[in-house]
Amino acid sequence: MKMTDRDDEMLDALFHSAREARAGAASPEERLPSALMARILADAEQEQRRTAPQAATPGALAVAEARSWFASLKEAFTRRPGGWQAAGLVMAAATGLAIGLTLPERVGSLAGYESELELATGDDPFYGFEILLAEG
Amino acid sequence: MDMALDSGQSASDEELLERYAAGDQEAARLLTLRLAPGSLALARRMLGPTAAAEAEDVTQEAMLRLWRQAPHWQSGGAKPSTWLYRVTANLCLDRLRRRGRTVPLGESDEPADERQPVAVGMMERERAAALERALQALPDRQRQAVILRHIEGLANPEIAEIMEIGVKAVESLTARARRALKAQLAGRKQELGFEDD
Repeated sequence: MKMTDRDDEMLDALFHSAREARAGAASPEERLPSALMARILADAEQEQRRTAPQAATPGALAVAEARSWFASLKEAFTRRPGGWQAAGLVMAAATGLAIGLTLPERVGSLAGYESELELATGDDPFYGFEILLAEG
Repeated sequence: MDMALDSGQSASDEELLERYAAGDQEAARLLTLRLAPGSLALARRMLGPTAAAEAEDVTQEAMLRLWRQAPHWQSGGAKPSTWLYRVTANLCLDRLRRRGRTVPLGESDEPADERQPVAVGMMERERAAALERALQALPDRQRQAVILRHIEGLANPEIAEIMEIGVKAVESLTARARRALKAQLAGRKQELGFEDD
């Protein structure tokens, strides 16, 4: 059968009528019967009761919060281009800062030996000062 | 003025879903009012006019899956409405497969009225029934595509997401469906009040 523009027009008119009927003519009850609405809301409430106790526990909330903090940090590093390199730089900077702020004896102990200088000076912060005084 | 209701009505579907997952029952009511009618309309069209109760069951099941999905919902993915259309369509297709085939053509026929309809209301009903019968005769996927495109008024990319196919495939399905519908309705132009060529 030969299709014509009139066939297209007829089909579009039928679709238009169906859309009109769907959008405006149908009553709210027809669009969503109240009995069905009640059944859907009963399901919703039941699902909320089923899942809510786990979420409402303070411990669970704290764990979720801690996880979300870690997840956001991880996401910040992994999602962006060069994220892992940035993470490496941050880690190196933090380590350098920690070493810089640590007392010299802790550094020595970290390295696993006592330096000769440390053995010589002991805990005297004015080591050598008397010698300088004696020499004038 | 109820501020909570106001903020609920202006909230996006995703925000309402988050609020539902956090225990807000009002969010469930608003989401149902927004999303369930579309799901029900799609189910009615796909399952046929004689399966009204079945269409309601499908919508209830689709909404239940949405409630279950709410705590795990990932923002940035499919819109809740798109997701719900997809679930609804898949549930309908499952039921149609279980039936063996779509509604038999005669089953959806209303008593034929051979007289020329006079009132506009009657003509509208006649046209709606003719379109319904023609839609029911289409293969399931073609019917799904043409309902979403031409009756629900969705754009092809969203239909592609719902049907989990490419946009080209949607275009092809709707084009074939239109050809089949035109072929079925061509002989009834005058009867339906359209002038013949």
